[in-house]
Amino acid sequence: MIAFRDVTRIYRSPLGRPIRAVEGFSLAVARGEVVGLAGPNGAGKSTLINILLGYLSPTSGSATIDGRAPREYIEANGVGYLSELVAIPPSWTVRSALARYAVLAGLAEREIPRRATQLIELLGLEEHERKKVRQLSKGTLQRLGLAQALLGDSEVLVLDEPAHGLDPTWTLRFRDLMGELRRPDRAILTVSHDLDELERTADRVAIMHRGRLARLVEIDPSIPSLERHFREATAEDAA
Amino acid sequence: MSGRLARYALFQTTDYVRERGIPLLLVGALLLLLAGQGVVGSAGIDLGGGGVRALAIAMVFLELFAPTAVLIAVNGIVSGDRKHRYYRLLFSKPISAPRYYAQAFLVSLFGTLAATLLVLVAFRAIFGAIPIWGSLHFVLLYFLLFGGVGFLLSAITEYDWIALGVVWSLAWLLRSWFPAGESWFGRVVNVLLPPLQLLAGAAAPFLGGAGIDTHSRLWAVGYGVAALATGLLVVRFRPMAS
Repeated sequence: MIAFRDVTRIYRSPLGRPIRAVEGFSLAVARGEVVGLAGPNGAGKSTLINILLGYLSPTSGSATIDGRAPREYIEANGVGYLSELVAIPPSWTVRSALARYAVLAGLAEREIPRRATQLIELLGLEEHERKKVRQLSKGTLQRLGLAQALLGDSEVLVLDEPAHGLDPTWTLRFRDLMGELRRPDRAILTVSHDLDELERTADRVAIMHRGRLARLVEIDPSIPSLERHFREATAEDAA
Repeated sequence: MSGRLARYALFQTTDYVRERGIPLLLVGALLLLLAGQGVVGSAGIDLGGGGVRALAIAMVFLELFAPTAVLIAVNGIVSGDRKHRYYRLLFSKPISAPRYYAQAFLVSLFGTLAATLLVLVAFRAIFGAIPIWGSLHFVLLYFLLFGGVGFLLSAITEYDWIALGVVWSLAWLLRSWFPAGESWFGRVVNVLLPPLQLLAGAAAPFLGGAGIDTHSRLWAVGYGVAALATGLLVVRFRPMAS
C-alpha cells in the first residue's frame, strides 16, 4: 500500500553544500499492517513523511501509495494524517475545525455533526469542543489532531508522534485506540521516538540512522527487544 | 470545482470576512474619515459643493483605497498557509491545492467587491452621489492585475507583501528610466513588468463612465490572469514543505 523505493533526498545548505537527509531508503507497508519509524533527531523521518504526502519531492527514488504518486492518490482518496506539530488556525474552535476538515474529507453534510460528536467523545474532547484552538493544551491539541486524522475513515494512516504531549491516561487510551484502528484494508505508518510505544503498537519498526534504514525489526510482543536493536543501530552516535 | 471544495467556500468566506473583510472596512472608514477632514482628496482646496466635490474626493479616495484593498485581500493567501504549516492537514484531505487556492482567490475577489460596495455606499451617504458601477469596475480591474501578481508572489515567497512592494517600485522606476519607445530593454521591461501605468490616475475616467481603452483593459486583465495562472502552477509544482 505504502512504498518507498530507494528514496534519497538531498538538501542544499545556504552555501550550496549538499546535506543528505535521506539516502537509499526503501520500505513497504502492506494493508493490515502497522509499521513504525524510529530514529534519533535528524535521522530523516520527517523528510520521509513529507515525501510520502507529496509535500516534498525526493531527489531520486520514489514514494507511492497504492501504486500511485502521493498527490495523485491523496487528491482522490485522502489520507488520515496527524502531523508532529498540529498546526490548526488558532481562531477555530474544536468543533468548527472538525466540521471544516470533515467537509474537505468529503463527509455528507448530514453526517458531519454525528461523526464529529463521535470523535469528540472517542478522544475526550467534550469539555473543549467550544474552545478555540489557541486555548487548548498540547495534549488536547494532539487529540484534536488525531480526531481530524480519523474523520475520513482512510485506508492510509500516517501518524507522526501520535502520543506526543499526551498525559499517561491518554497514552494508555491511545494504545488501545491503535489496536482499534487496525483493519485488514488499512496501512498504518507511525513515527515515534518512544520505543516502548512502537513495541506495543507496531508489527515492524524501521530504525533510521543518518538518513538510512539501519535496521528493520519484526516485533514479537512476547520478547521486548526494540531497545537493544535501537542501541545497536545507532551505536555510532553513542560512541 | 469539486463538491467538497464548493462546500468549503462557505468557510473560506467566513475566514475572508473575519481576517480581511473587517480590516478592509476599517481601512475604508479611516480613508473616509480622512477624506471628510480634507486630508485626502480636497487637501484644503475649495472644491465647491455637491457632485463636483464628491467626484474630486472619490478620485483620490479610490486611487488610495483600491491598492490597499487588494493588498489586504491577497497578502499571505498562499504563503500564510505555508508559513504556519496549515497546509499539512488541509492537503492530507482529498482536495487539490491549486483548486483550493483558486477558490480562495475568487472568494477574496467577491469579498473585496462586496466590501468596496459597502464603503461606496457610506461614501455616497457622506459626500454625495458618485458612480458606483464605475468605482467597482476600477477596483475590479485593480484586483485582477494587482491581485493576480500578489497571488503569484504569495505562491513563490513567504515575504509576499515585501516582494509586491519591490516589484511595484521596480516597475515604476524601470519604466521611467527606460521608456518603451526608446530602447529594446525598455520594450522588454514594458512587457515583462506589471503594467501599473495603465491604472495610475485611472479612477477619474472610471468615475466619468468611460473607463480606460479596450487595449489597456485587456493588457491589465491578461497580465493579472496570467500571473494568477502562473501562481497556480507554482502551487501545483513547488513542494509545500521546504
